Amino acid sequence: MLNALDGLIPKWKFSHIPTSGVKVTATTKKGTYLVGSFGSDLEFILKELDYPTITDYQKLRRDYGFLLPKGQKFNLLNVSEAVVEYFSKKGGFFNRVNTKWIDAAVKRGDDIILISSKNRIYKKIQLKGNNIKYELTGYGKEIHRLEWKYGYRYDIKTNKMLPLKKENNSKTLTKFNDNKIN
Amino acid sequence: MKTNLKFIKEQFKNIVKTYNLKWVSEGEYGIKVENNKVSIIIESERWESGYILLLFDKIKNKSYLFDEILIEKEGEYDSTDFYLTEEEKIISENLPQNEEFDDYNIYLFRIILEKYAVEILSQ
Repeated sequence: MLNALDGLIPKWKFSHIPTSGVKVTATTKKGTYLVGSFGSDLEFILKELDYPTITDYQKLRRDYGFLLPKGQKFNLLNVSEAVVEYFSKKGGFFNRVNTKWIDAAVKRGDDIILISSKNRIYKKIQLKGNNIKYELTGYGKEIHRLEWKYGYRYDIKTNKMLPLKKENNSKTLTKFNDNKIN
Repeated sequence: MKTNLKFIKEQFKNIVKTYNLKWVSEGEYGIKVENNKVSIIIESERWESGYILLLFDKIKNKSYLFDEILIEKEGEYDSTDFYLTEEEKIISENLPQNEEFDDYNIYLFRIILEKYAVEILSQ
């Protein structure tokens, strides 16, 4: 009986406290995008929501709309390791999948909430041979795309990324030169 | 890239004990230890290489990304020779750094914390 109800019971609450401190509520039928860092937030939220995993890379190669999965109220990017591996070999997972996920949200005008702390936007790595690599994390790259491709800005009151308007002209969280835009 | 939990726990057990930190979260992609004054965060990303290595000073509400605490104390530096002993250099060079593991950076982060973050950790 329970199995028959899977996908029908709305999944809209989780106990994990986002590192950005935001109180998350899903407000629209089309679903609210949760953008964040995997290790600090998404890993725990995906588990709690029992979020479906995209396992078919063929689907993602086509014009996949990243619509809200049945029974969910939040739109999260969750794919299998095999899908990651496939796209990593085909030009990079971020450029082939994450970008399309972000683009779909902008196209539909979905609400986008930043669930991870701002201190997860950059990372710094010491490479052997003494070079330091300072770059955007995956979370940072998603914010960068919203800011520099679509003109979105972070709204401190709601923790949302919103289209740029006169009353919302806050500073960007990333710099234009941090990443290439395709 | 999943975190190498076993290696991280081994590396940080002394810091955890010395500064009375508690393991507050632990997943395949990240760990966090903290007390009421500081947090040490080690997180990896699901489809990217490299760790987010972070010391957070709760009193000052300030984050230090990997080596920023060293830079704040000593100014710019351009070599691990600056803060590693000969023995530490040999150990670090033998640790893996590839798409699956980055024990090398975990080790360096631990050394930096032990040598340059004492004031923050013990406040």
